[in-house]
Amino acid sequence: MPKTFCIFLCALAAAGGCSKPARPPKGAGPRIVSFSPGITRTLWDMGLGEHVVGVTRFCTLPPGVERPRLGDMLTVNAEAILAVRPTVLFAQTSPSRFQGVRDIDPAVGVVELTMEELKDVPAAIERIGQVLARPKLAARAKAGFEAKVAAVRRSVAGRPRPRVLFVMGTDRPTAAGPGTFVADMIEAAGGINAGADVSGSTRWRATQIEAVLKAAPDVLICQADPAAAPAAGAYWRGWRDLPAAKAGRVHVVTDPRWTIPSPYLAELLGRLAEMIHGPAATQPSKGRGGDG
Amino acid sequence: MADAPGPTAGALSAGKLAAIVVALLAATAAVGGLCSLAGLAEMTPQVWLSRALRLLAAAVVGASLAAGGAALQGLLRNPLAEPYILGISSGAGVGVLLGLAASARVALPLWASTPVLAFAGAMATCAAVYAIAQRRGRLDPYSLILSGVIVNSFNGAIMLTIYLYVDRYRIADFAYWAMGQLPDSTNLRLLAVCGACAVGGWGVLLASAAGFNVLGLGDDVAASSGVSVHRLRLATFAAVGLMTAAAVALAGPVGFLGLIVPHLCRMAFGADHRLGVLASGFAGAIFLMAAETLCRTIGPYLGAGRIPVGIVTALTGGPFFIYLLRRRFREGVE
Amino acid sequence: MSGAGHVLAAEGIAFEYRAGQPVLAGVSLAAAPGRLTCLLGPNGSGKTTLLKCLLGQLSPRAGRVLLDGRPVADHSPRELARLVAYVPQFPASAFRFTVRQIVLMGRFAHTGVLGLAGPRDLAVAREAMNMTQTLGFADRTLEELSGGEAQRVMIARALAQQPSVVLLDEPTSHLDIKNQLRIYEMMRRLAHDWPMAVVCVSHDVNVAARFADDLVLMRAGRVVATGPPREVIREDVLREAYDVEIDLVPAPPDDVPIVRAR
Repeated sequence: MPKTFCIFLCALAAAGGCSKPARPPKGAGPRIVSFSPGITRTLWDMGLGEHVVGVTRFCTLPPGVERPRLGDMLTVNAEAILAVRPTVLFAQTSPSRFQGVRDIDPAVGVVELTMEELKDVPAAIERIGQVLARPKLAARAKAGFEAKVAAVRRSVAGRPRPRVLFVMGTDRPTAAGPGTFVADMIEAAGGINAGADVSGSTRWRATQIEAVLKAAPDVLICQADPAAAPAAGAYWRGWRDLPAAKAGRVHVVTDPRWTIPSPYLAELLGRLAEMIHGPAATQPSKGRGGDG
Repeated sequence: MADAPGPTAGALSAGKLAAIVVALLAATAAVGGLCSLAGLAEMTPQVWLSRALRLLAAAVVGASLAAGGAALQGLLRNPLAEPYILGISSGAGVGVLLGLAASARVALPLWASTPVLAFAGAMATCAAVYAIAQRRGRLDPYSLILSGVIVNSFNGAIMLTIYLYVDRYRIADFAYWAMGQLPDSTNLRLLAVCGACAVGGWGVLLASAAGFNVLGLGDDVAASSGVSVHRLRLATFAAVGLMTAAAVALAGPVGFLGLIVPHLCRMAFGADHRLGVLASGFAGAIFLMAAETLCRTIGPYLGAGRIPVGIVTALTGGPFFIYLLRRRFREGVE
Repeated sequence: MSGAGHVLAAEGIAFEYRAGQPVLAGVSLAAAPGRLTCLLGPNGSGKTTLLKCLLGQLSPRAGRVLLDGRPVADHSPRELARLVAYVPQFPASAFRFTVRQIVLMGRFAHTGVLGLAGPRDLAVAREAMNMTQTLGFADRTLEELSGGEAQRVMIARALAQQPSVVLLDEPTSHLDIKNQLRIYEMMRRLAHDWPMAVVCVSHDVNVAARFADDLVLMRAGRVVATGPPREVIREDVLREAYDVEIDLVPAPPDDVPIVRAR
């Protein structure tokens, strides 16, 4: 028994010695850690990607870019975060979750950003600019975003508003209810969010086929993985009672950025308007209408 | 029941007991010290303090669950008994989930944090289990176990219902809590309160441990030997309930500790419950401190920020029980 | 019945598990130190229930049990344990303790909170094991022993309580002849030599009659006959109690006749 215990102690000591990663280089400028995929993309869209020193494991990065993965919001590890020596940390949750970080290093700023609705995006841009003391950069990014959104609104003004439903998945899909940025996008692109008629009390609603049929959307947009996209399209088109299927207005999108809140949503807004009103709705768009 | 008589087959004297306590204390301190040196960040006083507090919390949780498990296995004469059969972890889960669901609509007062909700849910469930199982104020092992099973399933149903009204993002949060994990930042007041509950409860269990031994000969024999059987059952139930509530408040429902550690201690120290309850407490503390350190250090290498410590205990629990079962087959014990 | 010299006395005990179905209907009994008393009777006559009332584990609806003149209910469990000890019918231990550990458990009422054994406790335990001839397997567990040996261990444990009365519930029902005789001999020796009052529920009339100083014969919750074996082992008495025709076979001189059912 004592022998086993001594071996155990030695193993612990070895673990202690081995668990130190290389120290990241010091540099001027802010060192940003982003704890949300939406915030990560927003930072890159604003041109601040070079200052990001850590992201979550669910964050998607531009091609060819790599950053240390620090876990995710549900499993915060203060020591792992501090290992990249951040100066500021952005998250979509209460700062109290990162209390462990502040216990050790009170100098690290923790900023909560809400990114649920479409209007939260320019607000987040402005806040980021404020925190990092880059007001001009933020103002430019915000103006660009709002201009694109306004342009789409203008181009669909006066058109009849079809009922549009955005779902993720096929069997037991999740629908975008009111209060989501997708709902705001549908409204801005000249549609009516049929997700408001899908029963449920949360923003993103777990639902089932009968509720979708009851919501009777004229246009249905389904987000799926690239591998599952053809099957998803076939699935929704197979429901003959769905107005969208009867009219042949079922679209499948594979870009994960449809459900990651960021300035890029303004680009996607144009494609959404095309899906809702037809290819002639906006300026000629890149690629085939409807799938992107 | 379990295993060989062990090195203390003779009488347990005060001197022998004191020596064992000192040895266990030293072992726990050694493990705690080593664990506080392991980690990713550069060692500064703040880093060390943050680790030390979390290790202390791990020690409190481990000791509470393991000592409680040892006591229940003795009291109920059942090697599969452990604190969660009293329905406490599911009750804490209901408390936390109710809080999560409510916080989506109304802002909860500051004191209604997850640990407080967990503790309240745990104690409420304890009271419910007692109320169902008691007969004229007395508990008997069979109805206690049955009552715990009933309350557990009922709580499970309540939680599933609440899931319908909570958005999936918060459910993910709850799912991680339900695995059992020590929070990154240790709340000192919570640690103090839970530590006091744990130490107080452990004291009561140690005082009852001699009674558990005699209970093994049968209720009749124990009663005629001078054991107040009903009072023993009530005191043990209350102590284990309090200790488990404290553990669940600190770290959520960490599984398998209350089951594995008492068995390990019985293999090392024999069937005597005085040693069993004592050693299980220390061994539980050591086990969880080591598990927490493991989770903290290897988590980033596996992509997650940290692994919930309950995963490690569960992963060691399964194989251990297969081993135990095969061993019993070999020994031919029923 | 409960005069001086009787350390354990029961007066008019009535008990029922369910209302309207009395198991004991007015039983009186006295046990004096230095004597082995055996309780006899057919199944369902209330012998075990009476034993539990004597132990204080069941509360009689009427009547009282006196220990050294004081009612049983007035004693705390620890006080009671220093006066009365109990040996169950089947020796069993849920945990794998050694014989020494089991016998030391008999000291529970004499030791402190943690039940730590001091030199006196060890001495008493040793003496108890000596008297029951179990010292030889002090380091073995109950499962390793035969039925007779295990039962002797349980008796040793009871003796470690240093009681004035020992109550045994059919201690030899599952033992062979040799072990049966050995245990009854031991009980008589304990009663006479310690000395203490030994009360034993027996299922075997002949063995009980051979060793007991007093017999108490019960039927349907009442005492049908009581007294030394010669007075109780009679055809009419036994026929009434057991509801079966009896032949009495003469045994070697000075012994009580052997009972044989027709």
